[in-house]
Amino acid sequence: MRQYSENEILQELSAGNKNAFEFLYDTYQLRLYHFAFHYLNDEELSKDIVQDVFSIVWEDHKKFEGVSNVSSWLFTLTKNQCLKKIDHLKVKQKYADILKYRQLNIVQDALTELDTSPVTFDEINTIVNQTLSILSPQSRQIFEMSRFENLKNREIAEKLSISQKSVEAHITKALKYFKEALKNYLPFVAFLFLE
Amino acid sequence: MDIEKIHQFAQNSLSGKDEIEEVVSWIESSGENQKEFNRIKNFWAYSGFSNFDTIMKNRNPILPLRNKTRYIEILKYAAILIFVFFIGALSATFIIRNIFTEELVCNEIIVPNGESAEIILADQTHVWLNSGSRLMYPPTFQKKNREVKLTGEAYFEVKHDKSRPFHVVTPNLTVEVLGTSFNVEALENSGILNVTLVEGKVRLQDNKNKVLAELLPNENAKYNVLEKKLDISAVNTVLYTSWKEGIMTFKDEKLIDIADKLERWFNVEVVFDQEQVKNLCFSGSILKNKPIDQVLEILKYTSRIDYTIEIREQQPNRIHFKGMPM
Repeated sequence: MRQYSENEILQELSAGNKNAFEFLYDTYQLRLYHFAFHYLNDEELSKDIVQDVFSIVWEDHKKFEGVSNVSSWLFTLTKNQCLKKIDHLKVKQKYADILKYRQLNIVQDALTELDTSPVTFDEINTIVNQTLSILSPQSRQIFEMSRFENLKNREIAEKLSISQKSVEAHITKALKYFKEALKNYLPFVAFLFLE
Repeated sequence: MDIEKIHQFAQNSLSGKDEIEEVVSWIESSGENQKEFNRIKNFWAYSGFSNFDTIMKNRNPILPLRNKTRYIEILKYAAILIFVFFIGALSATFIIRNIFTEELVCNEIIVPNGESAEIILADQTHVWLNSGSRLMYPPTFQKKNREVKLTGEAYFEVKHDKSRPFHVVTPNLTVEVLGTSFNVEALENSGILNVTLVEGKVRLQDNKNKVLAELLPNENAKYNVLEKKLDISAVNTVLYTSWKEGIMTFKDEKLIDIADKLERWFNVEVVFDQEQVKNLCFSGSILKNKPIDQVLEILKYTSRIDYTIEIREQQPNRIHFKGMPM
């Protein structure tokens, strides 16, 4: 498959190039799916969100002309689609399942606060990148598989022909670095992904 | 409030209804608590924020989402089976290590002299590796291409896949395949590269991807690396491929060439005490899993050569060949 630079992909997309669109889909669909799933906690809904986002991208491809950061723009689209979906779900759950309704409420609050602006994206990208570069190649590979491909530790172990124990050790190590790196940026010390 | 429970809730991994209710109530109880939860919840998203160029630089083969069965299939293939069988009484270990190239992770299997190995790659391609060989292969293949790197000798039974040609890359020549069985001999210090096709069709390319030739079944291509000369001839493929069944087959082969194989297959060093015996020719089959002295005995009884074995510590034993007195 052809590789694109960020400028190229934006240009090709605004021109309505189908290959560029497919490339974008391949590159982002899983990332966006996991992002949506994190907030919606529902596989089907999250898949729908991703499809919706890419339909918007395809139909409004002329809007690409004003975009500078592809990632920030796609995550913003996904965030907005999720917020819309949460609104719908809240209406549905208000009288059906009050606990679900309350959960949706607090998740909506968190997602609204999430900053997906290009400036934030650039800053965090730099920190994440620096952190990844400190990791050993294997820790990095394993961390990315866990984070971006959302593979289970057992699946990673199988894929790389190593033990599940060492996969866990690599992830724990990687998280330690991330905790340290993001500590000053994000004002909290706890983190997720501890299993 | 147990902070661990908030983390679990933020990860969507809290399942008990009572526990969820407890956490939700805590978060709702103050603006401060909601803020704390927001930070924990959003950390995951933030740490996944990658710019386009970062993603491109670290591009891993990402699994498709659309088709669930395909996803499972790939995971199934990803479980790489490595069968290793030991030859003779030698105990040795195979070193399998991960070598990280710029883009993707690669496995490497090194088969020392005196050993051989059999592996099944992620696409169900079956590979037999002869002694003293080295194969680099990715844990999973990319969508458009399958590529492995070989030094030494290997027999491939490539799983047919029209959309993804299979490439065996050697330092001097690349073999392109669609689905077929063939043998590649690309020894490190030899100026001759041998490709023997059993069935199917393969294409030979030089390092610049220029197509040199296409082979038909039962053809052997000898590539002279220095002269960049390619000779294709019809052969009995058994001579080139029987090693994978543990049988060494020779036809009018000079002792010096046989000695080369003995060195690899039995992890020994061969020395000719007399020059003229080098050119003695042998034909026949030898079972590879017999001890080397039995093999040497056969050579001795069928010709006028003699041998002695020099036992050495921490080094391969040395075999001396010399002519028998008339």
